[in-house]
Amino acid sequence: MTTDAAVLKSLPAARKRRLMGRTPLEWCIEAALFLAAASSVVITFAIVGVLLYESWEFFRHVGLVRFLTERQWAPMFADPGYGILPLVCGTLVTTVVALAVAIPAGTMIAIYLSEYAPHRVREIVKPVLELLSAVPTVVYGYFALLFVTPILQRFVPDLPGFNMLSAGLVIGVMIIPYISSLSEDAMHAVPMSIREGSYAMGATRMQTSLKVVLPSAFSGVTAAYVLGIARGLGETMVVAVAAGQQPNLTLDPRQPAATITAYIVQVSLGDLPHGSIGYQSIFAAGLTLMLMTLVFNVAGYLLRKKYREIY
Amino acid sequence: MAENVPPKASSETASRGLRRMIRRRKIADGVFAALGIVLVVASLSVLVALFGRLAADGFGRLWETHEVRPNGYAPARFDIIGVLRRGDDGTVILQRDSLVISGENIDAAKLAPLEGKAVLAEGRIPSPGQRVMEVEGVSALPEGPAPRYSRQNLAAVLRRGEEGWILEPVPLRLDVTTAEAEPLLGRRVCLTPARPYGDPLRIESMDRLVRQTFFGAMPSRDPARAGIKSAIVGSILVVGLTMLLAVPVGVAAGVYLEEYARKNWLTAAIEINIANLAGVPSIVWGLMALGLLVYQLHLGRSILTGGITLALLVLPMVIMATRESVRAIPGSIREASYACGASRWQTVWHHILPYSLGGVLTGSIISLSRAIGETAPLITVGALTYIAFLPEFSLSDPLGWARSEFTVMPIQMFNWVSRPEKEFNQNAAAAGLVLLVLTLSMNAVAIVLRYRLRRKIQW
Repeated sequence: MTTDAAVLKSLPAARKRRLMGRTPLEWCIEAALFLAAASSVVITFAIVGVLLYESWEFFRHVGLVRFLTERQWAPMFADPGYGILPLVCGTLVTTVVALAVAIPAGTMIAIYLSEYAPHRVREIVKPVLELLSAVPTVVYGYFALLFVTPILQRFVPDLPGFNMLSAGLVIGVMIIPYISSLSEDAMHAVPMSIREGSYAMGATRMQTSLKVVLPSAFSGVTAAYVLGIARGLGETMVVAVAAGQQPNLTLDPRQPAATITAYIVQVSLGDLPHGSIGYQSIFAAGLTLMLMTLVFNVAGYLLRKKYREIY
Repeated sequence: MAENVPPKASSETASRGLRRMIRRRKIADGVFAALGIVLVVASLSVLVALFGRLAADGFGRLWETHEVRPNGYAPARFDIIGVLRRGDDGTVILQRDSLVISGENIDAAKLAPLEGKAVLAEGRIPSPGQRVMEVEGVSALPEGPAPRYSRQNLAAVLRRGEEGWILEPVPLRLDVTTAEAEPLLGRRVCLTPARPYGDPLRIESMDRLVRQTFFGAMPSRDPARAGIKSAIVGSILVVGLTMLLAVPVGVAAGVYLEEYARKNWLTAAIEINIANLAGVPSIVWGLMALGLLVYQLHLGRSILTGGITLALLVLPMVIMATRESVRAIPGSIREASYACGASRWQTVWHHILPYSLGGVLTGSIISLSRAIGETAPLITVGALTYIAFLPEFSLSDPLGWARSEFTVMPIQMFNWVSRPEKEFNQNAAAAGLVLLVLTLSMNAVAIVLRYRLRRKIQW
C-alpha cells in the first residue's frame, strides 16, 4: 500500500508543485494580490511622509512654539502671523455646532429605527437616510450659503452672510446618517435577552432604550461618534463656501471664520510657487488636521476599549 | 381583623396614583417615539428642501439656450449680430437686432412722446444674442452725426411692440467693400470687430443658427452663456480613470485579504491601516497628491494626477466592499471547489469573484458617486476653474489627453457659487442639480441592487 505522501514523493518536482497548487503562475498571482493589498501601507507612508517632509521647512522657519502660541494666522502677509490657533478654533467651532445637531438627532434616529420602527420602515428609512451623506459637499455649501443663512438671518439679528453657524448646522445634517447608521447597527446587535430582561422588570421601551440598549451598545455608538467627529473636522467645501475665508480667533459661531480645510482650499486656488512659505503652510495646516483627527480616533479607541461589552 | 382589610379610600388613591404613573410612562414613551419619527422626517425633509431649492434656482437655467457662431463658439462681448443690407448710397450697413427695454426707471409717460423717433438709450448694451436691454434713461437723439457704437449708449428708433417698448438700433455703416460683403447681403451675420467698437475684422453668416444649452457651452465670463461642457468632459475622464485604477487594485486587495492572507502581524497591520485610511479627511489626500504626484513625480496638474488622487481616495471603500461580499460566500463553496481539484486561484476566479460580483458592483457604484462629487482634493491638486477647451484626442498620442489640464463639475460649481453675482449662483444651482441627480440616482441604483441581491441569494 502506498500512502499519498509516498506517491507525492515519487513524482517529479514540477508535477508535485502543480498538484499542491504551487505553480509559478499561482505564485505570481498571489504576489500581485499581495502587492495590491500592501499598496495601502505604501499610501499611508506617502501621506505621512509628504505632510512631514513639506511642513518640515515651515516649522524650521517658524518654530513650533510660535506656531502653537501666536494668535494671528497670516503666513503670506508682509507682517506675517504663524499661529494656527485661529484656524483650529474655526474648525472646532464648526465641528461642535455640527455635532450639536448630529449626535442628538443621529442617536435618537438610531434608537427609533432599532427599538421602535417596524422592520419594513427600517429597511426603507436607513438607506434613504444614507443618501444625505451621498450628496456632494459643494452642493451642501450652496445650500448653507443661499438657503440656511437667509433663514437664520431672520431669527439671529446681524448675522453676517458668511458664518460658522449655518455651515456647522449643514455639516451636522450631513453627518447624521454616519452616526445613525453605525449606532443603529450597534444597537441592533444587542441581544434580545437583555431587552427582555429589562421589559420583565416593568421598564418601558424608552427606559429600555436609554438605560439598557444604549449603554450596551456604547462601544459601537462611540465608534459612530468618532467617525462623525472626523467627518466634521475634515469637511471642506461647506465651510469654504459658507463660513468665510478670514482666520478669526473667536468661539462665537455667528462670526465668519476660516477653518484649516478652508484655508488649504483658499491657498490652493491661488497659484503658489513650490517651496514658498505659503505652499509649506498648507502642509503644516494639513498635518495639524491629521493630528486632530488622530487624537479623536485614539480617544474613541480608548473609550471603546474601556467599555467594550462582549456578548 | 379590622387592620387586615385596608381602608377602601386609601386603596383607591393608591391605584389612582399607580394608574397616573402608568399613564405618564406611556405618554413619555409615546413622546419619545414621536420624537424619533419627527427627526427622521426632518432629516428627510432636508433632502427634499435641498433638491427643491436647487431645482427652483437652477432648473430653468438648464434648458436656456443661446446662439453661437458657426464655429461653435459663443459670440464675444463686442460681437454684433444683425442683418447685412446695402444702404441707399451703396455702402454696406448692418441692421442690428432690435432690443426690448427693461429697467426700473422707465416711465411709459416719458416714453410715449418719443415713440417713432430717434432716441439715445443709455445703459449697458447686452451681450450679442440677448434681447433685453437694461435702460437707465431714454432721451431724444441730439442733432448732428450719430454717436459711434459703444457699450454705454445706443442710438435707436423707439417703437411700441407686443413685448413692450422696443429699440430698433440705427443701422451701422460698415467700412467694407461691397464685394467682400456681397455674398452675405440680406443674411443674418455675426460681426467681429478688429478691436472693441472698431472696424469689422470678420463677418460670418449666422444663417445656420446653432443653439447651445447649458450642457454644451464652455465656461464664460458672461453668466448667461456659461456652461459645463468642459466640466462634464473633465469629470467623465477623471472619474473614468479613477474607476479604472481603483476597482482592479481594490478587488485584488480585498480578495487577497479574505482568501490568501495568513493570520499574522502583517495582515493585521494592513487591515488596521485600510480602516484608518478610510477616515483620512479628503483634503489630506489632495495635499499628498500635490506633494507627491505633482512635485515629486512631475505629473503636473493633469487629468492623470486627478484620477490617481481620487483612485487612492476611494480605494479603501472598494477594498472594504469587496471583503464584505467575499466574506458572505460560505466556506462550503470553496471546499467544494478544492475538492474538485481546483487550485486557489481557480477557486477565486471561477467561484469567489463571480459570486461576489454584485457586492463589488454596489461598492464600486457608491465609490463612483463619491468620486464624482469630490471637490477638495482636486482643488488642492490644482484643477482649474476656467477651462474653455477640451482635452485633445489624437491617434499619434493616444494617452495625451491624460496630461491635459482639467476642471470637474463640482469645482465649476464651487467657482460659480463663490461669485457674488446672482446669475452665477443660478449656474451653480443648475450644476448642483446635475450633480445631485447623478449622485442620488447612482446611490439609488446601488440600494436597489443590494436589496435584490440580498433577497435572491440564499446560501
